[in-house]
Amino acid sequence: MSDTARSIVEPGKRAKRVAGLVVAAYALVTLIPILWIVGTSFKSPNDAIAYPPKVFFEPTLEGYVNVFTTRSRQSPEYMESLPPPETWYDKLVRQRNMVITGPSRFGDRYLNSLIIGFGSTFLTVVLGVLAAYAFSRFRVPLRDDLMFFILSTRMFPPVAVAIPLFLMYRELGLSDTHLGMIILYTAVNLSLAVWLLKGFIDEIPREYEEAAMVDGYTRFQAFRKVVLPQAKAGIAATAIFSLIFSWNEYNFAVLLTSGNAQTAPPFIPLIIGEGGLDWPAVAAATTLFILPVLLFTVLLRKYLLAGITFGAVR
Amino acid sequence: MAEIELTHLHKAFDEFVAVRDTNLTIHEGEFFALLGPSGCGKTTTLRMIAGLEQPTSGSIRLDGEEVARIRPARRDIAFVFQLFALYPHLNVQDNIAYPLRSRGVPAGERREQVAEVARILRIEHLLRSRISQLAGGDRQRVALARAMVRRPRAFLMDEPLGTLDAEMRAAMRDELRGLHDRIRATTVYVTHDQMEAMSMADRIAVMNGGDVLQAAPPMELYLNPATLFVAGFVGSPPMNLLEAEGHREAGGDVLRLRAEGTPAVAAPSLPGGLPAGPLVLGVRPEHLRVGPEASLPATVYGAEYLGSHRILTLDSPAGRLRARVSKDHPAQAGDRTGIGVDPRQAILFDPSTGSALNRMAGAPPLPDAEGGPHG
Repeated sequence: MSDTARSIVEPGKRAKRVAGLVVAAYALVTLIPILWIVGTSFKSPNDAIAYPPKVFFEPTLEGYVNVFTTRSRQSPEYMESLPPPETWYDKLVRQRNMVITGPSRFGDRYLNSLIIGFGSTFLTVVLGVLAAYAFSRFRVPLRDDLMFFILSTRMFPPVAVAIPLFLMYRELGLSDTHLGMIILYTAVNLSLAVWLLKGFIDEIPREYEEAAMVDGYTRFQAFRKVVLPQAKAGIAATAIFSLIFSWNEYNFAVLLTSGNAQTAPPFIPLIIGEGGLDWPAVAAATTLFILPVLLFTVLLRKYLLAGITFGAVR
Repeated sequence: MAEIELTHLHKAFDEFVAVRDTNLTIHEGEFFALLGPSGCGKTTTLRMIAGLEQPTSGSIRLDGEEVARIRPARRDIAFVFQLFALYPHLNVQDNIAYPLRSRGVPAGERREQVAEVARILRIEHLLRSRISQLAGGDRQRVALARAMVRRPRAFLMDEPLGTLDAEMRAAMRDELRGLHDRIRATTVYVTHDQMEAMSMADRIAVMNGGDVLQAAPPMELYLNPATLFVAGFVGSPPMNLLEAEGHREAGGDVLRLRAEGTPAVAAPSLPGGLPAGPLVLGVRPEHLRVGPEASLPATVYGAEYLGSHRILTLDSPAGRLRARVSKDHPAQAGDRTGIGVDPRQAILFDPSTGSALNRMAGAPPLPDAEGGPHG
């Protein structure tokens, strides 16, 4: 009974155990769909639509091959006449009496997603940190009104601006262009970025910059060498949030892109196989699609927490 | 080292005037304090000298060179902040070297100069430490070292001891003054603590509401406050201020306290005679005579024993007064006694303008009249 003194705000042992169980249960529930997608990506088309669903199956890379290729069905005679398959994926396709006729458009769409997602994230962070710095440090006229105005761009459902945007983009020639999508996602993300980053920059004492300015730097140098390094948690958090949004965005991508700048989200559900959707291929595409954001988030996760708590806890 | 000259310096934030049409000259090598309550404009004045704030109008000269419109880095002035503003991601050595690095001083020279200021401030053993490991006083020394390292033309300090505890503050006060005596750098020091200003500065400017009310050496400020505000702000306890009235009578001028049933008080002699009408009589606590023989009746409300002396709080018909008496003075709380005022050690103020009408007799003559509020 030699219990050392314990703060009353510190949770007890039992409370911690209960909390752990709840978190584990929640993690399991949220992970199941993702695990199912990853699982499906390694199934054969028959296994994917089997009823009851198969938890154990023989894994195959067919889904991944199908995502990246277009194929055509051939007569058995034609298949007989072919030389032996050169690669493992040729072999896999031929088992179903098909031959690869070329690459699919998935690679392009994936590249579009990367360009548009990271492009708009970069632009959002650059513009956001400059705007946030100005709002934080300068006597901007009507500052509070402007800040509210910026936030108010997030207060209506996006579909409300769908038609005006569609018309505007068509007139401006921005429809179905990478630049158009980057501008659009930047505009949407900037409001959150400015608010988030202003919170972080407000926390950095002005004296740091002022000392740097007295010591020989210009304001911009002080901003670069003193403010930016100290705001890096906020910048990382902003980058993650804005990448997640522009990476996953579906509605505007469907509306405004088609042949040229289409991103992966509108493309993935349309992967057609024989007799309807090619579920393993869809799942394979989804799995590949999840990876970059997952990686980015894991790399910057310690800043993400700081972003969620808005610099309140340090 | 440089002379700093402010002429008609004015700063307004929208409607609010932070610093009103100020003229001050801070001499080369002087330790000059800007003293006043918060919001009086002292920090704004300092920040304008540094270039961190743009004056609305007026000029700032450093050794005759107009600097009001040039950016801080070009003024070659060092600023010590209240919160020190040391970079948490750098160690002590790198913090001190920072101003040299931002000016492109080569590494070898940097190390030498850092070592030298570290020796002057006796922080050589801390050079490898992280800022977060330092105590308040050491952080202040590092901040000073960073200010000193590039030998600026002047030091500006904004309440540099404000965040330290009382004991450390007293020690750092001596250290700062000692440092100033060794390097003789022009220093402008902002504080709201009159003790700090009185103990360190060669000259003090008292500010209130954006105005410089008086700029004078500590002793002059104490003995001959130019205005009621200065009288009430400088000194601990502050000057006793009694409401009184001047009467011109046939037998000579008479000064009476405002309260009922109080005797006439001997008035300090004024060159033009005592003006008729309301006046304020100011007497320092140590210049009040306390004893039953004195003419103004009073009751002892409280008596503090402070070792070297005692502070009595006295209730009289003219209001509550504080007197500083010898440690052996017999008065106890509840005693009935009397208060006497020596006219040679009293100052009369005009309550409508707040300015003093006379100088205390026996006070040293003014060294120079320049730097005052009205020329």
